[in-house]
Amino acid sequence: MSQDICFRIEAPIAPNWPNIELLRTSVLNCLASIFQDSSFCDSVSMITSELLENAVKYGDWDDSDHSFFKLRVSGGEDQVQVHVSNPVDAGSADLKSLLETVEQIGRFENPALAYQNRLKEIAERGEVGVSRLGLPRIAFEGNCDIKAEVVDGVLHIRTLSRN
Amino acid sequence: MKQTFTHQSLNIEISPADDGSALQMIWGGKSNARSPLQILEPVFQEAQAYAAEAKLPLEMHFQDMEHFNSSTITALIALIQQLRDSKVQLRLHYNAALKWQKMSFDALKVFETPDGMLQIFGKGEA
Repeated sequence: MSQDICFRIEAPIAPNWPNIELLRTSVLNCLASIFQDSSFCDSVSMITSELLENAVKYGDWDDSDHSFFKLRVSGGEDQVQVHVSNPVDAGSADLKSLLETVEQIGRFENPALAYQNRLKEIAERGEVGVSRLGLPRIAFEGNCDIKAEVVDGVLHIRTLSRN
Repeated sequence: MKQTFTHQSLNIEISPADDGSALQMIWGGKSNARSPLQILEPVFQEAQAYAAEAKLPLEMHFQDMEHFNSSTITALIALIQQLRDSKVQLRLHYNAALKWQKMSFDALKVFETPDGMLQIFGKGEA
């Protein structure tokens, strides 16, 4: 990572749907002030919003401390990490599916194949009500690595994008 | 048929093409609803019924879109399937100069078939 540019955006978030777009545009505008490449800014802001959508949709918001819901975007001129953490129900089917999706993406030769595979699954199985396309899209369009882990009831998803 | 659909920061202008060759849906703004299919399905159904009755292709223009979420892509997949079943041709136009649009729509070419019922066009590539 370059020593010339170093930034960090960190925000605790309330799990409300409208906040996702507010944060997506905030990240987009912030990155646009740092990076020349607008495509890279679009990509990182898309990653941010897809991760936040998953968190709001699949997080455990009934019996948990909402202060664990956080967005962190940090990096330098060569790479940017997006890290979203949110409380989860360790036994939920949604969490299991999400972790399986991350693993599945890694099993494909490249993210494009993982994304195409998910598109076909949605069409063939008629899974139009359940997207599950966000993580494959992040890997493909964002061209980034995705790592997921659960620690003490909090899901941490980290992506690393290279400029 | 001439109407404007608006939901939050998404707007879709629906009208016949000037030369009458297609029913056009011009998308603008952002599509980031939690369940886009629920919102878009009535619009899709009305446009589909009109296009089928008039025997016109449905032409969607996304060039002015700022952003859409992955659930919107899922809604488009549902539309592609529905139009194929009702024998209405679908043409998708995107801005190939925008990398995010190019990647999203190039990926949808996996649904193109030799019968041309789905055609995807990128314009303005550098």
